[in-house]
Amino acid sequence: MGSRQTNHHDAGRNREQLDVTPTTTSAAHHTDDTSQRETNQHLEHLLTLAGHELRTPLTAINGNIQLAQRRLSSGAPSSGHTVEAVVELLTRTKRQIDRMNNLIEQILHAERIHEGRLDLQRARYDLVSIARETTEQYRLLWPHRTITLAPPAIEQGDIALYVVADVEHIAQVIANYLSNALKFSPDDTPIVLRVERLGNQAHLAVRDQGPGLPPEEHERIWERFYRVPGTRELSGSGIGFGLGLYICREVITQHGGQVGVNSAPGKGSTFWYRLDLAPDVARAE
Amino acid sequence: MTSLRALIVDDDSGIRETLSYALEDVGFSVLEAADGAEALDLLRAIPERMVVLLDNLMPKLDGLSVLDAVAQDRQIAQRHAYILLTASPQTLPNNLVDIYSGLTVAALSKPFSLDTLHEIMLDALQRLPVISQ
Repeated sequence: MGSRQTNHHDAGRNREQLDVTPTTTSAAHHTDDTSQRETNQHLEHLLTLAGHELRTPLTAINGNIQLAQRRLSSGAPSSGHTVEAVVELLTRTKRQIDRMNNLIEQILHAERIHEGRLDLQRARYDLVSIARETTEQYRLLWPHRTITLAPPAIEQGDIALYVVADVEHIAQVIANYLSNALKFSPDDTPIVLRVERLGNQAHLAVRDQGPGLPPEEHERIWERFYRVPGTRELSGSGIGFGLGLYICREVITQHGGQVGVNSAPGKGSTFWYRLDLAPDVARAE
Repeated sequence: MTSLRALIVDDDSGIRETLSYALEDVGFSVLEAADGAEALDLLRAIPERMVVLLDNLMPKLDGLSVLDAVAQDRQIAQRHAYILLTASPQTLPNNLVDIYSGLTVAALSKPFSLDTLHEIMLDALQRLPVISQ
C-alpha cells in the first residue's frame, strides 16, 4: 500500500502539471531571456492542452463513424431503421466536429488578437437582443441550469439598448462569460445576466455563485494564458486554454469599452463589460 | 445467460452517448455516471460485476482518485474491472498496473477503436478473480 501511495502522489503531480497553466510572474522586470522562456513554456503548455482537448471529441467521432460503418455493412443497410440510426450517428459526429472547430477557433482568435489582426465588422445592434439570443442558446446547451435575465423587461423584450459593435464578437464575449459562470459554479445555483443603461453606456453583467476570486486575481485573469491556480471546474473537464477572458478583454477594449470583475472568495463573481450607446441613443436622452 | 454489465464514467456526454451505443451493440447492459463521485456510489450499490470505463480527468473526483477509493474498499476492490481512459497518457504513472495491484486495471488512450476497446474489456473481465457474490 505504501508503494501505491508514493506512486500515486507522483501521478498527482503530473495531473497538476496538466491542469495549471504556467503563470506569468508578477515581477516588474523580466529579462528578454526570461520572457522568451515563459512564452515558450506557455506555447508548449498550450500544445499539450490542445492535444488533450481535441482527443476527446476525436474519440466520439471515431466511435460514431465505426458504429455507422457497422450499421451499413450488416443486415439491410437501406432499411428505414438503419438509415435513421446512421443519420443520428452522423448528427452526433457533426456536433463533435463543431466542438473541435470551436476549440481551434479560440486558439486562432487569440492569436489574431495578439498579432493585432482582429477585424471588427461594426454596425448598430441592440445589445439586449444579443444577450437574450445568447442566453437562449445556453439554456438549450445547459438545460439543467437556471439562467435568469434581469431586469424582467429584458426577458420580455421591452427594452432595447443600441450599440455600434461587431455582433459576432460581442455575442462571443457574453458566451464566454456565461460559459465560465456555468463551469465554475455549483449546478444548483442560478446564473443571472443583467443588461442595463448606465449614463451613456450599456452595462452587461453575468453573476454566478461560484467560489469567487481574491482581489490579487482581478487583474491577472484577463492575461493571455493565465488560469487561476488551484481552480477546478465543477462541470467540464477542468481544462481550459486560459484564453477566454483575454479574448473578452481585447474585444471589448477594441470597441472602446471596459471590462471588469466584482468578486470575493466565497461570494461568487460578477463579470461585466460596458459599451458606449450608439450616438443617436445617447443623444436622445 | 447473465448479461455483461458496463459502467461508463465520463463527464463528456458525447463520449458517454457513443460508448453506450457501442457497448449495447455488443451485448452489454450499460450504466452511466458523469463524475467520479457518482461512479463510486454506483460501484458500491451494484452487487454484480461490471467493467468500468473510467475517464481520468473529471470534475469533483478524477479517475485515479476513484481507483484510490476503490483500492481502500475491500467490498468492491475485486468486484469490478477498471479501464482508465485518458486523452493525456503522459499524465498516467507508467506502473499503473503495479500501483493498483489489488485491482483489475488497464489503461486506454483516446482516441481508440471500438474493436480495441471491446477486446480490452473482455480481457479485463476474464482477469477478474472469481469471488463469491
